[in-house]
Amino acid sequence: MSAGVETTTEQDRPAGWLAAAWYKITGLPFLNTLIAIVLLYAIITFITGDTFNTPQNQITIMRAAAVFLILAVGQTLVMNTGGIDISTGSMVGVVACLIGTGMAAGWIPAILAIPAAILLGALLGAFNGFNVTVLGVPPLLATLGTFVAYRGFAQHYMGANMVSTMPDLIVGIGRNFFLGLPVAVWIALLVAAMGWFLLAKTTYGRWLTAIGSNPRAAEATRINVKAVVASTYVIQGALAGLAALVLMGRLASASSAMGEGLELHIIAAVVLGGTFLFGGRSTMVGTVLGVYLIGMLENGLIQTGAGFFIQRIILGLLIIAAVALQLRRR
Amino acid sequence: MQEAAAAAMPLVEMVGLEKRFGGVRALNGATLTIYEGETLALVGDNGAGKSTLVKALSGVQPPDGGEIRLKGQPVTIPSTRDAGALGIEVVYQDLALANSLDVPGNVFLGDELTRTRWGWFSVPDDRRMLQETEATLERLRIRIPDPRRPVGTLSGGQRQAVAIGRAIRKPDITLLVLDEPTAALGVEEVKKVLGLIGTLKSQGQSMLVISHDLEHVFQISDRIAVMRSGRVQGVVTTKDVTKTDVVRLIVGDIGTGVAA
Ligand SMILES: Nc1ncnc2c1ncn2[C@@H]1O[C@H](COP(=O)(O)OP(=O)(O)OP(=O)(O)O)[C@@H](O)[C@H]1O
Ligand SMILES: [Mg+2]
Repeated sequence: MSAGVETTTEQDRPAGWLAAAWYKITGLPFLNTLIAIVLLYAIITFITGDTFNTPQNQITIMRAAAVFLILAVGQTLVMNTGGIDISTGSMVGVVACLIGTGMAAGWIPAILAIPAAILLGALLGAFNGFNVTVLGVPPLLATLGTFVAYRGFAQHYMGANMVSTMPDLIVGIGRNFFLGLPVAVWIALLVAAMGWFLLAKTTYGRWLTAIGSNPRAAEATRINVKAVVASTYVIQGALAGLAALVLMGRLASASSAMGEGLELHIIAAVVLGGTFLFGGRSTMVGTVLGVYLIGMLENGLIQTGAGFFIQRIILGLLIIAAVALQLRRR
Repeated sequence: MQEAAAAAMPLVEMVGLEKRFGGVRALNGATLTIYEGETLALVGDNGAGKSTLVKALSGVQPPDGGEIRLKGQPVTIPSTRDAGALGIEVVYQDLALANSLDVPGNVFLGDELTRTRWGWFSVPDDRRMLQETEATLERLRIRIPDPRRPVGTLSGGQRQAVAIGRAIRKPDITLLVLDEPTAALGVEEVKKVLGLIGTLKSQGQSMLVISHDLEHVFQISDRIAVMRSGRVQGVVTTKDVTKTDVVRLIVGDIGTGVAA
């Protein structure tokens, strides 16, 4: 059958590889993020003088960014399917309140708090997944609902109370160092590495991309689209549980306000990293860079004397700009 | 009417298919036989019931009544998965490709070949999928210079080839159904896709092709089935008729066409 067919791919190979290599370089979705980081780094260093560009300050940035990165990894998976989860901060709040009080009351030993927090987070995420896939509520509204409801639950449960003692193990996760870097940063990098593997190297990751790229194409195959989509929300929830542990450790406390406003940072970081807001395109390397970019920007703003409110204004506008740029380049 | 195909075996027989949507009888006793190895074109005006007939065959929308036989055996096709298991593959008009995946990614979507890493972890076997994709494209005599590119960057004809490649990749597919394979393509692209259908035909692939373009229908088909108002109003042998004859059948302007 194949004899005499003029499809000799042999000849195309070098050109094909060249084209592939070229595509890989120009098509790198996080190239812009990298350029932005270099520029911003230079600008902030120029403005602040010596305070920004020190190893000490870089560690401060990374430690603050660790919680963002853990959550951004989940958000990247969710967004790759064309979804979004804005309830992440509220999930962190619920997990912190329940696990925090559980530990304070002596019901949950510190060592068990780790799996318990992750499991509880996964349950909260599963509820999002159920609402999105089984009930068919659009992701933005489904998670807006739980964004409000979960936070409401945390506030109802805790009131104005606060847990202000944490077991050493949990505090260690938030504050200790390992090989020169905070433990929290190592955890976040490990999560990012696992996320990268899942996204880039497994069939599951490919399915996420396919679903985000064209849900109907995925549905026409053997892929169980609903189960796969729901699983991304479960992962996001589990990571919110992990993030809550790290945050409780860092602050050595738990309150109902925990995780408030996180979602904005995370969505901004993921989008700035090159993940397409409407799905089908995402990169974990870009997400890591995006988280660093946001962390650096925030740190820089503080160093230059901009207050919390100014930070929020810039963050909000940044999301709009990043999405607008993405749509333009399409 | 059936001399040309008389020697061949009936592959798929649809007998008296019924499908109602509220008051609309989308299929009203539709009867059609597809023979082994033939290319049967299905034509008819908008709303005649062509897509509904295909959906009955592909398991997307099982019919309310009637019978489908495959090689003489009655079968029920309640889902697309069942159609796949029976070897019925459909390439839909809107292609249903994942634009950000590459060619092998699309051809194998949901059926990825895997290999075991570190003794226990299963990862996609991209090399083997690429090789098999290239073999499939070679079968279609289609050249895609760089199959690792996202299919969103390919031309319409190349995308159609990817969609068809996806359908014919499996070794034993009994019937390939193409829904408007040349719609929305440029002149050169249409030529390629028609050539591709010709290639499959020379390889003995049985095909049911829906098309509105009689020019294309006459180029590729052995027989032409004409649908109107949910019924197959007539089946003609392509080389025995003219386009005018077929147009008459389509609009119902002929007394003798009412058979089947
Ligand atoms: N899901 C549905 N609900 C209600 N009516 C339907 C549905 N699907 C098809 N119909 C009706 O059934 C009839 C046959 O439709 P069908 O799509 O099979 O036609 P067709 O021959 O494929 O037309 P076209 O050439 O325009 O694609 C039409 O009157 C259509 O409006
Ligand atoms: Mg139709």
